[in-house]
Amino acid sequence: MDVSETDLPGVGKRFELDIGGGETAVIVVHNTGRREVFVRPESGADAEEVLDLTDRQARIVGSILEGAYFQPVATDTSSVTLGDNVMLEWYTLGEDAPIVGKSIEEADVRRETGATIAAIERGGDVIQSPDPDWVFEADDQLIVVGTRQHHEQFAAEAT
Amino acid sequence: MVIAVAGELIEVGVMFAAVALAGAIARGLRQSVIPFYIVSGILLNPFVAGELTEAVLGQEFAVGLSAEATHFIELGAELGIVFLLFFLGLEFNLDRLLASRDRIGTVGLIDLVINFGVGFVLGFLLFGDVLAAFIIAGMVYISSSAIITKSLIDLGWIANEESSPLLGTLVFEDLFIAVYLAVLSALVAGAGDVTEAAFSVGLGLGFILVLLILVYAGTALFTALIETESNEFIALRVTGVTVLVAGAALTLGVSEAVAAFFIGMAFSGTGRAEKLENLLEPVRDIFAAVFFFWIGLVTDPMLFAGVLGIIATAVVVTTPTKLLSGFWSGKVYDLDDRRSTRVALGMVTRGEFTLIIASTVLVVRDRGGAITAATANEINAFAVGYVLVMSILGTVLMQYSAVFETRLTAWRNGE
Repeated sequence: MDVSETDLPGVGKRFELDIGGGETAVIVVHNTGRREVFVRPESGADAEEVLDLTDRQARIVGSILEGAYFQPVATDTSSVTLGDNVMLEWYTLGEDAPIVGKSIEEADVRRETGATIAAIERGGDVIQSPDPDWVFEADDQLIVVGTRQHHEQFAAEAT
Repeated sequence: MVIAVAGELIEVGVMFAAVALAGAIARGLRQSVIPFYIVSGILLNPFVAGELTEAVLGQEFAVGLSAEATHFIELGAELGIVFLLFFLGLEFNLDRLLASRDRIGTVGLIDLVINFGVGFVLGFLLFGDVLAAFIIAGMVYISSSAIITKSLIDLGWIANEESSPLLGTLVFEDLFIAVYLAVLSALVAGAGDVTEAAFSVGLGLGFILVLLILVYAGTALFTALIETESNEFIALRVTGVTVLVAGAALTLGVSEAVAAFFIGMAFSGTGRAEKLENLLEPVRDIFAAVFFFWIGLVTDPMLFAGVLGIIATAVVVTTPTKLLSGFWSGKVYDLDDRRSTRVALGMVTRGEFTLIIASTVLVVRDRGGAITAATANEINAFAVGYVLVMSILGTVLMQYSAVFETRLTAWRNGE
């Protein structure tokens, strides 16, 4: 995703980000710390101001957007890129997921798919490095590490 | 002590209150504060408030600022110039200029050749003097970074493409004006004697050379100077260095404004420019307001009558020149007609730098330089009147740009 950066001498910097549908998000960061967020509805149109934030407000909004305040873990799309290709992704097991009812040892996820289960969240508790005899249940949330290919395999075979 | 300064303290209080009120009125009218600060100075000056109260109440009750208060305001105005130029240096980034030198260079030269060129011819026709022409050229060339940048933010243009040529041109102008002020202060100090003029130009250039070396070789020194966690110490040390060097420059007969510009550049090299801007912005704003007030204070509005024709001519001639160079600059940045129109309208505003040039002329008048007192007064009255018109005109043009954009687009499409 391309973020373009423009210097605004005496003011600060302007960042532009294509947000799809022909729209562009324009963020002006003032030297004073003030941040203005605009949306340009289409290329060539005037940007319309959406938010005018102080430095402090901008940091709070920024961390909310980043997911630090609340992480929507249950969605398919939430993923964190760790390195070049390695991603951390959240999966929720459905009733009919192939590994439900199996233990970690039986499922042998790493050998089957290449992905590694880093942690499991059940009923609000997070279990780190679960024992081999842990049995998967529906609605378990799995936090899985692997490359994109590993994730595709995992999504196909385990969930 | 307490009794001795009581009178002056209340006078200075009156000045700050007047400036604050002027700012509030300007904001209410959605106008730039600069013309309103100037008018508050004019209203309180001996030619207006003094004459009026003397006529109504008699000489004993004539209202006017005392010599001491006026002296304080003059010194404050000087600090205003120093801080305005210090900030210009602080925000000036040579790397940024060099990185986009092709486009900034092109628009900068278009702006310079058209406006400085026409200004020079106009000045020569009006005053019949090369030095006066040089001064008028500078005055009508330099747009107001402060007002234009403020309007860009207020109107939201800062998020659009038109801000690039506008800010790019201003960067070029800022650099040019630093060199211009150095040359101008040397020229006007020369008093007509060629040897003396050559000496003062040489001294000025020598001083700038020393400052340039300081900017490039002294980064470690300046960094060490502000290497403290205390905001108080940072503000004090920066102010100490800046005002001291500016004062030294003025003592040597070199432009204090240029010295402050280079000190600002030196501090921007430390990578903590933003921090310094945040800390010193209120200081700059206070003294800049004093500067505009002072300009009004020393201007006899009766002199406007004498230069009304010159002001009108300059407005009529130098508004279209900025429109032309601005529109062309927009085209250099590949903008469409609508956005180029905005660049054109945006560049019309003249403000603080025109007045700083005027103040340089006044300093020379008081010292006895290459310009006669009468011409100096005339040029000063012109500058004040011109800025009053152009700052308001420019702001209004930007606010109503939609009208011009529609007209021009319709016309260019042959409707």
